[in-house]
Amino acid sequence: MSEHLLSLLLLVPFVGALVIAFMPRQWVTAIRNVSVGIMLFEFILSLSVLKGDYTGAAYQFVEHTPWVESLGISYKLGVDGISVWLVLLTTLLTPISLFVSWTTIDTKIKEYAIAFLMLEVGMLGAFLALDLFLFYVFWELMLVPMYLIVGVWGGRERVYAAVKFFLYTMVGSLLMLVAILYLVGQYKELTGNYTFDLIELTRVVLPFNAQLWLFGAFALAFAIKVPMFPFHTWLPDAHVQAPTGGSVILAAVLLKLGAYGFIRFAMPLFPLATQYAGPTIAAIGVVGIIYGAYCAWVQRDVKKLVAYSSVSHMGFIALGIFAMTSQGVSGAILQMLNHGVSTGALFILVGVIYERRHTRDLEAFGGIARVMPWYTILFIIVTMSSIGLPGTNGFVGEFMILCGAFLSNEGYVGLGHWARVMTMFAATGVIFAAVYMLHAVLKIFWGPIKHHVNEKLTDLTRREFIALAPLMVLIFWVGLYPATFLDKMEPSVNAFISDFNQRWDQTKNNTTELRLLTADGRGFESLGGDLPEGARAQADLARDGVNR
Amino acid sequence: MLDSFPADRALLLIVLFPLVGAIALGLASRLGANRSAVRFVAVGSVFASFVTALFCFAKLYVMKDGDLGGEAVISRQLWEWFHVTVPGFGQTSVDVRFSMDSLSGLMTLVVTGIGGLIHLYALSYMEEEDDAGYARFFTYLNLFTASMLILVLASNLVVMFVGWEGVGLCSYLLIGYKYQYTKYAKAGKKAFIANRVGDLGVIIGMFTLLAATGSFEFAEINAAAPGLKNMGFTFGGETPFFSFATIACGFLFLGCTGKSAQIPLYVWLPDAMAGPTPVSALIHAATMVTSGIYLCCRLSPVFLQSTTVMATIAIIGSVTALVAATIAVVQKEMKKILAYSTVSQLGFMFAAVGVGAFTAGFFHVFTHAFFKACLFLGAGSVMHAIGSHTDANIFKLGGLRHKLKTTHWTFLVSCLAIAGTPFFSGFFSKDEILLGAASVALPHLTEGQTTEGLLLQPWTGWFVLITLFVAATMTAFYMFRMYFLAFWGEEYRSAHGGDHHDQEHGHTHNDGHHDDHHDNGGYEPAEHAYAAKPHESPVLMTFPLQVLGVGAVIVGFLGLPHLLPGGIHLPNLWGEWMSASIASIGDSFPALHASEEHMSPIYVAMTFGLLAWAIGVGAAYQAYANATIDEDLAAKNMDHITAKLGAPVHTFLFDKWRVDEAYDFAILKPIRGLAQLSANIDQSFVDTLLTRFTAWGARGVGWVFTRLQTGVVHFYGFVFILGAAALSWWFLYPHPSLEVRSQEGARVTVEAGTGLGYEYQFDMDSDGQPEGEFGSANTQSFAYDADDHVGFVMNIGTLRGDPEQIPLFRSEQQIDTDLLGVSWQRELAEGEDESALNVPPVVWVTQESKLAIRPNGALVRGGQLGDDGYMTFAPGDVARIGRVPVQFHPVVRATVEVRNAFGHTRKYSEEFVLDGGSRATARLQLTGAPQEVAR
Repeated sequence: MSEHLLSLLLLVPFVGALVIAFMPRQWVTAIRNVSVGIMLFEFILSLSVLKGDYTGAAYQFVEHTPWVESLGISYKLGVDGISVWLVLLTTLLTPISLFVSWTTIDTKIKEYAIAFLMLEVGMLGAFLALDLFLFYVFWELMLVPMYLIVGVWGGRERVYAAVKFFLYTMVGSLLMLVAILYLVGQYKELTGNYTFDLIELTRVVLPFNAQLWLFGAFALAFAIKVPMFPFHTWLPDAHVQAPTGGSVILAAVLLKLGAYGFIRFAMPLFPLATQYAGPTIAAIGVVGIIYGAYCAWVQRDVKKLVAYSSVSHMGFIALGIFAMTSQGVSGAILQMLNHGVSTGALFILVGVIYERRHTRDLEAFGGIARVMPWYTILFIIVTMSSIGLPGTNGFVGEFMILCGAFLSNEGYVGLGHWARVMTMFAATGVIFAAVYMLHAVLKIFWGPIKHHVNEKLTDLTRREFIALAPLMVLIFWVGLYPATFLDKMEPSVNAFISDFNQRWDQTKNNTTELRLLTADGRGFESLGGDLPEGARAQADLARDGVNR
Repeated sequence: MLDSFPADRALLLIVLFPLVGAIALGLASRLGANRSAVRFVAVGSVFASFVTALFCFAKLYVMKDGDLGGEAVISRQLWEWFHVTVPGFGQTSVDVRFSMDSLSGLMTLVVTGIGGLIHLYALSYMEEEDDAGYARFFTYLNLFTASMLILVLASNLVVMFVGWEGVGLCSYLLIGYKYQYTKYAKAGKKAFIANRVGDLGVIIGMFTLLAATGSFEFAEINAAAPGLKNMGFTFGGETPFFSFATIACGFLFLGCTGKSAQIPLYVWLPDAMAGPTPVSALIHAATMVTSGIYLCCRLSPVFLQSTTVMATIAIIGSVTALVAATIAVVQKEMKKILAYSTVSQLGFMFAAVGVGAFTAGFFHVFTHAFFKACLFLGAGSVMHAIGSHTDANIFKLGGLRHKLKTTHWTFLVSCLAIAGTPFFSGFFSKDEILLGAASVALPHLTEGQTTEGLLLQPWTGWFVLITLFVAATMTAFYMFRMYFLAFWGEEYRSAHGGDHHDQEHGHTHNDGHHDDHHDNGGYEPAEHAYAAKPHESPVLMTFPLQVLGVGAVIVGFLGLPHLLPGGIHLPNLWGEWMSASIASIGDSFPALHASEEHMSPIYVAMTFGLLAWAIGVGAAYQAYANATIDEDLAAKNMDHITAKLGAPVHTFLFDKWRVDEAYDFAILKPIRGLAQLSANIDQSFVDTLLTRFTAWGARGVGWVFTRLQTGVVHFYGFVFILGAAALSWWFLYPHPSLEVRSQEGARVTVEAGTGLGYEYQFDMDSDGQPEGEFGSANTQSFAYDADDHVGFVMNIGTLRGDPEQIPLFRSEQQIDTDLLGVSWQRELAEGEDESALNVPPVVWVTQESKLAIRPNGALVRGGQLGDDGYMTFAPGDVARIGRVPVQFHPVVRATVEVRNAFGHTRKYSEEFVLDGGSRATARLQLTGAPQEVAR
């Protein structure tokens, strides 16, 4: 079984969706139980991914089957220390997000469950795919259920938000498709074969200008997904309109795909462009941190506030990734999990009062700490995690990112001279996080009860507790003993950085030619493979003459 | 017994007791538990921690083995938290590790000991709360104790930061303990955010130290400290403007100004007095706010490396001491006065740190913990007695010395201590601070030494000395103003003022929401009239007061002045004990040390100290000992003395120099405005630009296309006819094309493009004579000979592999040297000018259809140089220019004529280079061995 574990992970929710499709829609309870049951089974199944060997950087549970042989498209899956945590995040958050929507969603329950299961297939596929074509398929597959979740079960302006979400994301990914095809075309030019295999394609060394264009196309797709300033405007709309479960998945998992895409695809494929544009993207991330925090501060709608806080937090992640230091990248990946957990929990919590009061206006609350003490406690814990209080998960992630960014100008790859200034500005984000989150806490929980409706609010139900409990455990687990997570991701992160540095070092002077690296990545494939020995030496000599 | 005591494991217990207590109490507050169990856990956990700490401390003493200044550290590593990689140092792990040395050992005792007493006091003080609130209060208080212990016992900066932020969180929760009141909640938020601003400094300072020393561990940083003075971040090899020490300490000090309420971040502390009084005593007087001084002492060797930062700390500390004292003088409420007094005293401590008297600063932390905790608890006892739950207005008190006997004497000794009365604790610690300043002001210069080389210039010392003298005088004055107004006087001023219900015992504490209807809309609790007959507080409250009061008197003797006039040496236990952990300025700069032959700093310090006490207390006695309160002035928050300041000055001081308003105007409003602007821009500009404009664009294009869909059939018909005509034309005439399919030597096979009903006729040599008739075969082979050549090209080998093709002409053309690489030149011939080598080779086709190269400056091999200065080659020949191979190829022209089914014919010609056609053989086949090329 273990050699098909990853396929099984994709298959279970897919089959689950089929099963539910054939259940009569009157069986509401059964549909709910079965769908969450399938997702829980999926989660338990996904835990066995941890059994892989993550002491090295090699992909685990790799499955490789040709799919469209003439075009070199294959069905290739695998996990490493980076994606394994994102897979687990997905399988954990999906049942939770469906579970919290238990009572809020009362129409088209069957379709809702199917949408979530298909969404899970798409997200897992995107995290597992090691073939660019396959990745693209899953990347687009995710869009559809999310589009439906926002558009069908969303708030009043759901259609606008759904279309905006869909088009925005689509535009970015289309450009990425073009870039993928161009890259594959270049590979064909070099070797005479087609392939979409990520590892094969990383051997292609494109001229600097081509790298810039292709990186730009990938980066746009991922930046929209992250979302990075200024491509973030779809996010507040989508979050506000999405039902609670949709918001949770959107914030907790979908946004991570953008950051993951940078690490897995855009950066290894285009090292020169990454090095060239990295500091700029990191700087945009820093702008996002502060800008997102500013915008969050003045929102009256709690969901919008949390949505903008995501923009701010994801800025940290971008900074960490492009710092290209071991702790920066590890911190960024850890922070992806943290953001998934904390912001996921925040959206659930916001959903809780929305369900009771049917409003998310900060002014409609005040003083509800007295009537909802448990709710208050959990909200404060999540707030502290979100603003990075030591002992909670947010601290470890942010601290590592900031530390990584601060130290990243020592090597030749990284943020350069501005690293420390950027870190300083990014660190002000920690202050602003406290400002907007405590502002919200003050408005919602403290002070006297101003509206008499709020006197009768009921505290968390058992179901809400159960949904939030694992997230609370994770907040402290990651905060106190992050080694569980860091140890497994570290070899992959270190390999990512050293591979990147090596490739950058090897190709940094080779800015105008299209070349192919050898399979071990240590040298260039000579193009005239069939030349006699002497002639090749001659060609090499000639090349040296030009480059010297 | 102590030998076998596992002190390292006990360290963990010190932290765990209150932490587990906090968790248990937290559960109790939600799930409900017996109040006596809550009391037991709350106080028991802290005292258990205190006892364990005592054992550890004793162990530390034993480890020192008789030498108080000896090094002794108890340390325990728990687990590796995470690790970071530092360029130049490799991987550094960040451990969860606790360690206790002389400094942290004493601080632990203060936190648990005084903390335990305050817990005890709070048991009774918070009695009025409901069960849940009671347990919640002690949850926070225990959590605070645990965090503070983590801060103190941390062996590295990161774990310290856990405690550092943890105490901030607890402070936030405790200030806003009565969350029903917006004012309290806001004060909590303000404290948290002001602290966060400081935390930014701590983070950056931490990273700087990490980058400079490769470690977060205090011990390793301190060991590396001397190197930090002359190193710094560089931009491109220049010498750094700021040293690592300056950057790190500067940022860390920013953190200290937040946590320890110094200018510019002190504004949160006075507001923080909204918290229940035990909180003010524990957090905002005795422990948390002193952690900034603790941090400076912890890293004292690093701070000593930066003159800039030391001088800054000295000045900020002394100015804060003075500013806060001026505010305290005019306040009318006990806790407000004590709050500003705390800010002021913290300023004293920082001034000490700044002049390098770390030990003295920390000694003041210690003595201050006793008398200030006692004062706050005393104020709490007064509030309890008069039934106020906001603050105690001294204008409405008076005569309490007869009614609250225990509270009175403890309050009095604490006032005496803080005022610096000889032989009370504050006297000794303040004197040490003044001595530190005086030592800087009057350095002991050896013969020929100038002040140039000193760490701190004398003016810094004088500035600190004078400022602190004024501040100390005012301290003595305002403390005794409060004391006389509250406790002296013949009668209790509110004895007849109470027109309220149930004033008998004066307990109007309640948990807030019962009096929502008359408390200013929930902003803050309503001010009740004070109880008419105040009673002494219960023993649970007075016992801690007595212990602290005794402490306030005696603890000063731990730090007796080492040297007294007349050469008397006294045992300064404190200084010796601390010397193991705290660097002293005297060690690095002997010139700044008082000694037997240089007594002047000691005289100066003692004179200033005693003068300040005498003037301050004397003036207060004169003014307030038998004062009566003028109701009209009291309504304006003034008394007969402060009224003399004049209304504007009084208001300015009473409103805390209007700093809150200034911050609001200069910082908060602009940032809030910026935030609002960002949100508006986000909606109106970013979103519009990226989504709406795009959408409008797409819609516009769509609109253009919809215009074509007119629905007018004539129009559609017209377009249809146009299309049909274009298609007919396409089919009516053939569209020939030609490609090489293969080439073997001079024999070339070509292939013509196919089409419907096409027939082909080839004229391969393009001489106008087709080789055959029209036929259906679309390929044709032909062997070209020299007569068929229509032109020549030269292929130059390039790096990419694909040769560069250069068409050749009858006229001479220069070869682009970019194609030749860098080493194409030949060696200089004798008597030749160097510039001759820069002339590139020239190539052309001779009249005999030979291919000629004139080498000029280039090294050309592969042919014979003729008499006329050029080489000739035949098609197919290979030569080398410099290192680059070149080959000559003929060009031929083939023509095909295509006839389609309609009988229309068309001709098409294509030229081919006879270089082998396919890519692999396009490579130049060289016969020469590589060695021949290498020069």
